[in-house]
Parts: sequence; C-alpha cells; structure tokens
Amino acid sequence: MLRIWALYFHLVFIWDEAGAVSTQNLWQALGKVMTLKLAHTSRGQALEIIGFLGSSMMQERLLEMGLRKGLKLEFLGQAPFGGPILIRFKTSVLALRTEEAECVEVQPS
Amino acid sequence: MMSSSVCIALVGAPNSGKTTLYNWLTGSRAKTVNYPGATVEYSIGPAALHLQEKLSGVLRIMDTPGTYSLHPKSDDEKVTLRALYAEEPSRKVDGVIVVVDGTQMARHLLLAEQVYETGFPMLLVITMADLLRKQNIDLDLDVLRKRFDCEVLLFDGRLAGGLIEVAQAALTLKSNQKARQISAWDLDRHEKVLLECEELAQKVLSNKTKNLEEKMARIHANTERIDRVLLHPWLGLLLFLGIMAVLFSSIFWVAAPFMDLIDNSFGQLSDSVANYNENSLFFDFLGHGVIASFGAFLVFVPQIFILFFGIGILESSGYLARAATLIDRPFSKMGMSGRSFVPILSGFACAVPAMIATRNISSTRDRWITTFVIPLMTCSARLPVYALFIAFLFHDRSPWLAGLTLAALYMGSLIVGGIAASVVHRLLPKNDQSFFMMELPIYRMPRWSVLLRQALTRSYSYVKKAGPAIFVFAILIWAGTNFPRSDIEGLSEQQKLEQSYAGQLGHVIEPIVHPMGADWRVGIGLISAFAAREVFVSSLAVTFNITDKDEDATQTSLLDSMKDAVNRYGEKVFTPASVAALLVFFMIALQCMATFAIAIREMNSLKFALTQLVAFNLGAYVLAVIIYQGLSAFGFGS
Repeated sequence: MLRIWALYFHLVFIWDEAGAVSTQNLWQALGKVMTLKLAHTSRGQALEIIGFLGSSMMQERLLEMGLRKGLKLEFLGQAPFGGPILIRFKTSVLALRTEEAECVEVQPS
Repeated sequence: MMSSSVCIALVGAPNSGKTTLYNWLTGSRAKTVNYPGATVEYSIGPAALHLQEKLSGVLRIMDTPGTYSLHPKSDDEKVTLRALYAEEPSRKVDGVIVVVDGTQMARHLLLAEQVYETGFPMLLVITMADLLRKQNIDLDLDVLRKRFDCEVLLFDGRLAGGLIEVAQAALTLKSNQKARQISAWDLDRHEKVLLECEELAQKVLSNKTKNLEEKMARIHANTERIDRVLLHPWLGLLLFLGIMAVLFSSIFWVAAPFMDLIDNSFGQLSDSVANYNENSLFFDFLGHGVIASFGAFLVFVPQIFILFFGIGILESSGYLARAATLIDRPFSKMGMSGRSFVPILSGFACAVPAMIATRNISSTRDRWITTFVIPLMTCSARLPVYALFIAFLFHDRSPWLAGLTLAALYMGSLIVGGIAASVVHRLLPKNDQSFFMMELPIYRMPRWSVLLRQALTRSYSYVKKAGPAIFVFAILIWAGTNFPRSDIEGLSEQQKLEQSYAGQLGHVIEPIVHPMGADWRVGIGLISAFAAREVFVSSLAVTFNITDKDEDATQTSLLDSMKDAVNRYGEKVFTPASVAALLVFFMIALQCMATFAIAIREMNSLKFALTQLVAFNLGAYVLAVIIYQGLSAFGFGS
C-alpha cells in the first residue's frame, strides 16, 4: 500500500510537467488548506488570497501590510536557508517569514 | 494676528519619506527625545531657520516612529499613540501630517483613515512626487481633499519641492475640540476600510492619467531587475558577503590614516604638556590624564563615522531590507531577527550606538537577545589591543599571517556571538510576539550630503553618550596609578607604581590572573581596560616602560619592553601562550563601563547588564586559562 502511495507521489511531484498544478490539486484533493508557505513552486506564479489563519493580531498585521481576501499576488521567490517568502501585489513587494506565510490561505488564480 | 506656536506631528509608515520630510522641515535643529518610560525614541524640533523666517507663526514638528497603524500592537505604535495624545503644553499636538508614499498609496491611506477618525486637524502629504512626475502620472488630489476634508499637498523628497507650502499649511492646523480616542477595528471593518482605500487610491491615480499600470510598472522595473540578482538564492548571498567585506575593509583602510593621525597628535600633545614641568602633578594630570583620556575615545571616531556612513548608504538605497531578508532565517534560529542586522553590524564599531539601534526591533525577546550578544562583536576599541599583541607575535614574520589572525579574531567574535545567542535562545522562555513582515522599498540613489550629515550626527551622539563614561574612568585610572603620594621621594618609578592604589589592586588580583599567564602589571591593564578597552595599551605602556626601563629613555618601544618583561619568578610575561590567552580574553570579556551603563539604561534592568558582565567575563577568564595552560603544555609558554 505504501509503495502505491509512493509511486503516486513520485509521478505527481517529479514526473509531471505541470507539477505545480498537480501539487495544488493534490492538496485540495486531500482536503488540506494550501497556505502561502506551501504554494511556492515557480517564480511569477499568480495566486489569490482566499482566507486567513492564525491569531487575530497576525491577521491584523497582514491586513495593515495590504493583504486581504481576494487580493491577487505574484510569488517571486524565497530567500535562502528557508528564509522569508517574497511576494508582489499591486505596487508593493513584501517579504514574509514562513510562519507568517502559513497564515495566508491561497489558491492559484 | 500672529498665531502662537503650533506643534505638528508627522505620522507615516516606515520608508514613506516621513523622516526625509522631517529632516527638511527641521534642518539640523532636531532634538531626539525619549518618551518618559519608553526606550523608543521620537524627535521634536523647531522649523529650520531659513524656513521659519518665511512663516507667519512659530512651527514645531514632532517625528514619530514609522508605523503602519495607530492601533497599538508594539512599542512603536504605543509610543506614537501616547505622543499624539500628550497633554503637556510643551508637547501638545495641534495637528497631524499624514505622510503617504505616492507609490504605495492604498496601504498608506489606511493610516490616513485612522487619523481622520480621531478628529485631529490633519494635512495629507504625498511623497515620492518626483518619481510620479517623471512617469507623467498626474494625481487627482481633489478626490482626497473631499474624502478627508483637508488640504493635500505633494512633496518631493529629493529637492524639497513643496516644502514651504507644507510648512505654511501646517501652521493653519489648530484644534478647538478635543481629539477622539482611537476605536479598535475588528477584522471585517479593517478589511472593508482597506478595500475603500484601494478604490480611493485607484481614483486618485487614474482619474487624470492614462496607462497607469504601465507607468507604475516602469517605476518598479529597475528595482525588480536588481532584486533578481540581489535576492537570488545563492548569488544574492554571495553579493551580500561581498558588500559586507567591502564595508569592513573600507572601515580599516580608510579610517586607519585618520586614526593614526589622531592617536599621534594626542600622544605628542599629551607628552609635551606632561613634560612641560616634569615634577608637577598638575601638568602630569593635564597631559597624561585629561588630554590622553580625550584621545582615548576620540581615536576611533573615524571608524565609527565610516560605519554609520556605510549603514546610511545601505539604508537609504533600500538594500538594507534585502540584507535583513537574506539573514532573517539564520538569525531567527539564534533567537534574533533580520532586523537585528544593523545593530549587530554597528557593534563592530562600538557597542554603545549598536545597543541603541536595537530599538527598531519590535519583538522584546529578539531585542533582548540581540542586545545581549552585541558586546561580543569586535568593537573598534579592541583593535589597538589586538594590533599590539599581533605585532608582538608576528612582527618579524610575514605580514599576511598577522592579517589572517586579525580576520580569525573577527570571525571568532561572530562565532562566539552566534553560540551565545543560540544558548540564550534556548534558555529564555519563548513567546510568539516576533514578526518580520518586511516591505522591500524601491531602490533609490542615496543623497550624499544628507548621508554625511546623518553620519556626523550619529557619530556626535555616540561621542556624547560614550565619551563621558570613558573619560571619567580614564581619569580614575590615572589617579589610581599616581596616588597615594605620601613620601615618594627617593623611590624609583617602579616602587612608586607598586605602592599606588592601582599597583596594590594589581597585586591583589595577581593570583587570579596568574593562571592565564598574566602578572600584576597586566592585571592593572585589565582593570584599566574597564575605562575603555584601548586604555589597556596605554596602561601597559605606563607600567612596563616605567618598571623595566629605569632611566633608559631611549628605549621607548613598548614591544621591546614587552619582550624583555619578566615576572617575579623570572619567567617571561609575554609568551605566545599568554598573548593568545589575552587575545581570547579580550575577544569575549565585557570590559567597558560605557557599554555596561548603556545596557542598564536601554534594557531598564541592572540584572540584564550584570548578567552580561558576569557571564562574559567569567567565560572569557575560563577560556583564557584553558588556552594558556594548554598552549604552555605544548611548549608555547616560553
């Protein structure tokens, strides 16, 4: 059973050219929430914010930086060592720690 | 009618151009003020002279810490709020200027909405006007005027275009009614207001401008191109290290001639004054006490100035945010944050301004850890000590070995700092207050005249803060080596020194420092180093020149004195083992009253400063003993 799962993951994550889309579909299929932390695959990928998680203070801070439901943003990359995730939206460029990005629920747009 | 004095507060996000506006409005007349009870600073200043004379009333401006919102979640925001609602007549705010970055309008208008809610008379100033104009983006300011029922002006930070209009408009703000308190917004309301601000910004930007998106994209085009390199996973990191290397080497090569100049001139002046009347205590005090002490802390001002200038370049160009982003993860693992970057960097000039710079770190825990390890960064004051010992070890061998040792000492301090931070990180109770969320501003060409002035101001404030502590203790050391003076006639210089207070103290601690290879004269030096680390060198010069040279005035080189110095057992005092131990001791020990004093003040806790002092000095001592005993066992002890 484990081997079948392993094969499936192998196919989906490594051999599939449109690996990005498959990953996201897989997440959704598994019923898991895809957050900004997990959504990064390729530079320039367009995402849309569909919700927030985490404490209300975190959400308030994210709002103050301009992140709201329905906002379309672009994934730019990640700093080395698993550092902050870089996104662009409207005219701003933001660096968010992975713990902070974990609080932003997104879907591909 | 001549309006009375009006005090206007500037409120705005970090990077919004608020501080630039503040600097233009106040010239260099601003005074930084500490809000009582807090360590976050804000400034109040009168309008610049040439500006004030064109105004019909007296204008005072208050700068607040950059904040995205008035709802208090961190110390910065609490201070801004308290400053706005202050009741004392000298600080009472009559009106608020909300500074909005024209290229980030939607987000910044949120702050304007909050200020509007308070009922404070307000004025909206849109900065980065030059960038917008260059792209032919025409703003429809009437939309904003209608929404906020106030005047809206453009400001160009580069050339101060629009400055007088801003100042004159500021004077007209005067309130008769009490301002309302801020109400907390729930998340839904917050989101609704953000949406409204976005629509507002869209109207302002596009009503009079065609092809807005294209033009805005052009403003950001260069920044994006540069970031692709500077934020590249490994190339960005490499460039970061390269930039740091350039910064550090320029601190040495460029500062060195100036430092030598200051050192030599003060040294000569000090000697000539002291020798003016050889038997006079007063002239000795003047020369070796006062003048030498001045020289003690002025000598590394060039280095500090260059570091502040370098940090200023990184800051105003916009690169600093990128650097903080690159190192945030490694720093977080050690309990600090990307924002700790500037304080840690400043620590390589002097721990005093570095500790003050930690005020920008919003998380208390991150700030605690950063401030704790700052003294471990190799500060300028340690350099004369390192230089002396390295010269002693390698002066007749290849110079690059000396350079290598110096580099190793610097790396060593970084490594020890990292270890110390990680240890404290494990020991302190965790909390989840820390956040990073950094906006990466557009790259801009720094304005050199402003940078120079800023670096000068910061260097001057360092001199004012650290100088007195250093000076006082240097004088104390002079006194300690020259008193008591009862029946000293007929005693040799060595005996005079031995019976002075400093000498007695040195003898008392000799058994303690003996395991690390030092004798009582080095012991005196270590005590003197509490005044300022570089006083160690001058103290050594005093103790060794006097005690071992007798009347031989020709042999003035301290190095030669050190080579020949023997302790009471006839063993050499300075051997590779003992020098190595001393180097390690200086690398780690906290021996600077100025640092200790500032630590107490900045962290509001004597316990913190004492913990730092004891932990570092004990650790340094243990390590030094281990190294001395270890190296001696391997034959380096002679």
